[in-house]
Formats: sequence, structure tokens, C-alpha cells
Amino acid sequence: MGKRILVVDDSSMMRKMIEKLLVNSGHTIIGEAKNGAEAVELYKNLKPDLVTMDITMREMDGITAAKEILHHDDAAQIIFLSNLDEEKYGSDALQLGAVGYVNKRKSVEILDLINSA
Amino acid sequence: MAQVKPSNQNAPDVARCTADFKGRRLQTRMRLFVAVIVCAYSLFGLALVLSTTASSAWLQARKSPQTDPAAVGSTGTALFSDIQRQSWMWAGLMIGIASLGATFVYSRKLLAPLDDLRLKAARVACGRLDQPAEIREEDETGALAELINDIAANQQEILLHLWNQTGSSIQVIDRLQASINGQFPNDGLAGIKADLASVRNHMENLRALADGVEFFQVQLTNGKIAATKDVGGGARRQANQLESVGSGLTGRR
Repeated sequence: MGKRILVVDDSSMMRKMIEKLLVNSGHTIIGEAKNGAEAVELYKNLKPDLVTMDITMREMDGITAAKEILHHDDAAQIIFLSNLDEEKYGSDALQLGAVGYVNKRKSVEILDLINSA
Repeated sequence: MAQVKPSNQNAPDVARCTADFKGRRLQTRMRLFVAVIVCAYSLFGLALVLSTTASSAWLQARKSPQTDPAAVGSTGTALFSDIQRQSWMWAGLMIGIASLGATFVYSRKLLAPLDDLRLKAARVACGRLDQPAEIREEDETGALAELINDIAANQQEILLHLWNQTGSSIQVIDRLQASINGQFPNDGLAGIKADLASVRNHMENLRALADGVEFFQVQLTNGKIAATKDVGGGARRQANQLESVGSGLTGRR
């Protein structure tokens, strides 16, 4: 069964790409946010099953937003999708309590992670 | 063969790039100033017409059928009508000057956020994606600022994707070249070797597109995409205190 997903990324083009990938795999996009502040607000209102979170964003970055969401709901499932080097930043993200950290371009890994979460 | 240059040698010359846009700002200001002058003079002219009409109407109203037209030119009435007329003219002049001043001040206030957005858009056009436009108002200028930021974010995604993928492709090509050179040294498979070199060159040229750009919170260092600042505040410091257990795609605390 598909998950209800909140997509967070400051690039509209990237949000569309992720949404297309997820919808084609049977998931439902219940909301999208272009920065961390919107993400926190939408999470509280929509209560998604999972959040895909970019890291570098204007206004509020993904790490700060994830901290706030996890503070609000420690069972929140957050997957970081980023351009930043996985080897260097992957463990940081996991330390916060995220489900995982994947490079934005690796669509197969993104789907595997979402399906297994 | 195009050289792939490190990013610090290719930082975009924003000052020179944005200089092209300054001339257009002056043109807009000049047009607006001319419009203000025309508007002010129109108001002045209107005030003059009104003053003349008003004084004539007043004179007409003051005339009685019994009064000798010649006697209208008596000193008291004529002098009073001249004073009235001059007062209206001065009033019209003051209105014109006041409207000119008010319009000039208001136009500067109106143009200031647009000017700021113009500059931000120019920076994006010149490869400075690291300085987002401020969204101060929830009106057309705020909407425009959001769009400029979105364009910059999309451009960043495209360039980073390009840089990433071409880097991976170059690695594959290098492995292929090494394998072929090992199995077919000297002039063996010369044609294939030349084609691989050509494709590698194309990849390097594409990758070089990202070299002259200043990205938002991201920099290209030693073949990797790294954050330029402490993203998330304490996340980095917290991570540095702990021993790395390696990156993983799954794994929840």
C-alpha cells in the first residue's frame, strides 16, 4: 500500500521529479514545501506517513526542520534527499533520527528506502 | 581541449556582469521622471484653466443688467478680479509643484523594491545563486522574489546534477581507457581510443559549466559536493564528537 508523503525541496523542478517518481510507484503526495519552516507547519497539519527532506534550503534548512519535526513527533519518518556527499553527511543525518540519507539522483535507492521504512 | 578549472579561479565577475543592467535602470527612472513632469504640468495647466474659468464665472455673476459695462472697469471691481485671478494662478502653481514633489518621492518608494529585485535577478543571471531575494511583502514584488529564488534553486539543481553525472561518466571512461590501453597497447583499437577521448572531453566541457557558479550553501571541493556553512547549527558539531560508523542507506536509531 502506498504511503502519504510530504515532499520538501526549495527547487520546484526537484519537487516535481520526486513527486513523479513516488506517484508512479503508488504513493500519494499529500503536500509539498519549499523550505523547512513550511515543512514543519505542513507536518503538523497533514501528519504524513513520511517526509522527503532536502538539506540546503532558504529560510530554514532541512536539518533544523527535521529537528523541529522530531521534537514535535519523535515517531516521524524523515528521509534526507540531498546533493551533499553521502559519505560525509549521511551519518550526521542518521544521528538525528532520520530514516535514511540518499543522493537525490539515485531514484532506485530512494524508492527502496521509502518502501522499507 | 577545454580545461576544467577549480571554482575559485572562475568566480563570476558580478560587478562587470551586472553593469549591463544599470543602464536600463536609468532609462526607467528617466521615463518615470518625464512622466512625472508631464503629469505635474498637466495639473498646473488644469489649475490655470480652472482659475481662469472660475474668475470669469465670478465676474459674470457679479455683472447686473443695469450696470454700465463701461462702469465695470471701475477700479474696485477690476482690482478685486485681478487679485482673484492671480490667487488662482498661484494656487495652481503650488498644486503643480506639490504634485511633482509627491510623485517623485512616491516613485522612489515604489521603485526601491523593484530595483532590489532587479539586482537579485542580475546576480542569478551572472551565476550568483548563493544570495536569495528577500520576500518582504506579500504582493507582486514578493511573488516575483519567490519566482527568482525558484529559478535560482532550479538552476542549482540542474548544474549540480550535471556536475555529478559527468563526474561519474568521466570515471567510467577512465576505467574503459585503462582497460583498453592495457589489452591493446600502442595503436591497437586506435579508433575506439580516439572516440573515448572525445567523449571524455565532452564530459569535461559539460562539467565545467558548474565551475563558474557560486551555489547556495554548497561548494564543489576535491570532487565532492560539500556544504559551505554549518547547515543545521549543531548537527555538525554533534557528529564530530561521535565516531563515524559509516554512511548507510538504511538504519534507524
